[in-house]
Amino acid sequence: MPQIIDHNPGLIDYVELPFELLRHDPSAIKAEALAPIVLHCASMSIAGFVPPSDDTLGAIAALAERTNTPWIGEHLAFMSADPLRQGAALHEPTTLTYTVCPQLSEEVLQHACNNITQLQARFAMPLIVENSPQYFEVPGSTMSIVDFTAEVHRRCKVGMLLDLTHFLISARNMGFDPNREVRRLPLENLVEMHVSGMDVQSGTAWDDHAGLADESTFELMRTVLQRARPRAITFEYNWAPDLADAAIVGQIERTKAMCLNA
Amino acid sequence: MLAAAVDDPLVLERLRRQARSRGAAAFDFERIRLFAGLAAKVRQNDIRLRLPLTFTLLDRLKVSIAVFADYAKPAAALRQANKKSRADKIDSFCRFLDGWLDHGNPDHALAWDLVRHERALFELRDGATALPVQPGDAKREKVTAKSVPVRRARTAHHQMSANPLQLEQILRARSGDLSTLARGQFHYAYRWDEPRGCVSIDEVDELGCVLFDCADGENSVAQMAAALRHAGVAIDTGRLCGAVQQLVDGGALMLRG
Repeated sequence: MPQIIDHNPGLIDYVELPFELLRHDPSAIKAEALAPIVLHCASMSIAGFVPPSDDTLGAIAALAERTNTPWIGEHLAFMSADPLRQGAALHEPTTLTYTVCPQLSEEVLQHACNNITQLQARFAMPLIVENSPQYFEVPGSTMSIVDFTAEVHRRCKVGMLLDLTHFLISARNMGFDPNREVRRLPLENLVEMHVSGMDVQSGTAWDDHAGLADESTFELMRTVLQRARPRAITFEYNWAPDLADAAIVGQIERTKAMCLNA
Repeated sequence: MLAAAVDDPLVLERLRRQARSRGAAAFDFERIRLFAGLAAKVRQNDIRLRLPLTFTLLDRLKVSIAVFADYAKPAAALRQANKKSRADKIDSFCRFLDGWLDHGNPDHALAWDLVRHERALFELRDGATALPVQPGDAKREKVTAKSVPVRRARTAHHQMSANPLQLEQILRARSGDLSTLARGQFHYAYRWDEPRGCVSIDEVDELGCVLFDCADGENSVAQMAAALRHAGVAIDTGRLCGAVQQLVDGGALMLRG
């Protein structure tokens, strides 16, 4: 990252850092010397029924203040869940290291909206909510992921973090047309977009932050930019250190040109 | 239930069995298992820093999700045993991969080549900072029948199905063609080159590979030649001296005493 910034002055406007990284390795805050920080988060379990601890929320609030982030991005997903009762045995409460697309139902939707309202009150800066990738049908779901995402934004008036790759993954796995369905989202709420790679294995599309975004991502970006102007576009290439800088720079420059010409 | 199934491969197996016995499955357990594989893969991002091209190749071969879906159970066992260091994780993953890969499959053979290649590189680099310089590093020694060769501490050798350096280049190019690699049975000696401060990789022939294995610091070149002849290899002591000399000059072996 420092190398790209050094070699391409003016190319990158900010660095997005995960709260979890900063909590685990506080030295990551050094990135603020490179560019302003935008804080991203995967710990609030917005669409779950087990809330994060007060300690975690306090730490997020403190880091949000410390980094002076303009907003806090969080996933419309869950990562903590109630204990699973299996016969008489009580399974340990479950905390995942990866966010999971929730059941797409009215009950979960309303609960997510309540969580967002309560969480927003904890922070001095706005919360924005990122669409989940859907890898499989979640039992009990009564609506599509597009309806679920759109309805959360309509009810909560919360800012939108549209992960283009997540949207494409859901489209491929659930069988909808991304360029048509994206127009059903309330894009007037759009604040930020995420871009990363997508990999198809075993008949399923998967998120891949080690691979470059493909043409379908830029096509979807063009569709969105015709309708809305995000304040930020983040390239999530954080899994593989060996991605060629030139390819990343090329994608950022292409995106900037698309924003200018939209 | 979904969270527990994603989190714990044993729970997932149990739920899958129960659903099967009831003859109904509300969950797509196979996709959940693969999703747990994605989560397990992301959890290994710290070892990806050490084995970047191995991960790249597994992605390119479109097997990484399946690999990590199967690796979820050993990875969970490792966490439960509180073995969380990067060295433990790499060792565990390499052992798992050895068992998972079909070594008769040419694509899988490349993955096995690469993981050992990348592991040798960083272990030799790490070893170079951890171990003192060995005596005789820069000294040229003449090999005779009485010489007792021994492997240097900072060396390794591997049998590969392709040239690992060419494989590296192709993967770094991203669009490079794996089918252009010459395939066969090759032997490579890896050693830490103290003066140059890097790992040196040399192709060695089959005899060199055997010598590498036999150079235990106990047997002289004459004894090794006799053992090889006893095993049916037609070789005289003079020729073996020459082969050992090459490995000594190359820095893979040194002479005891």
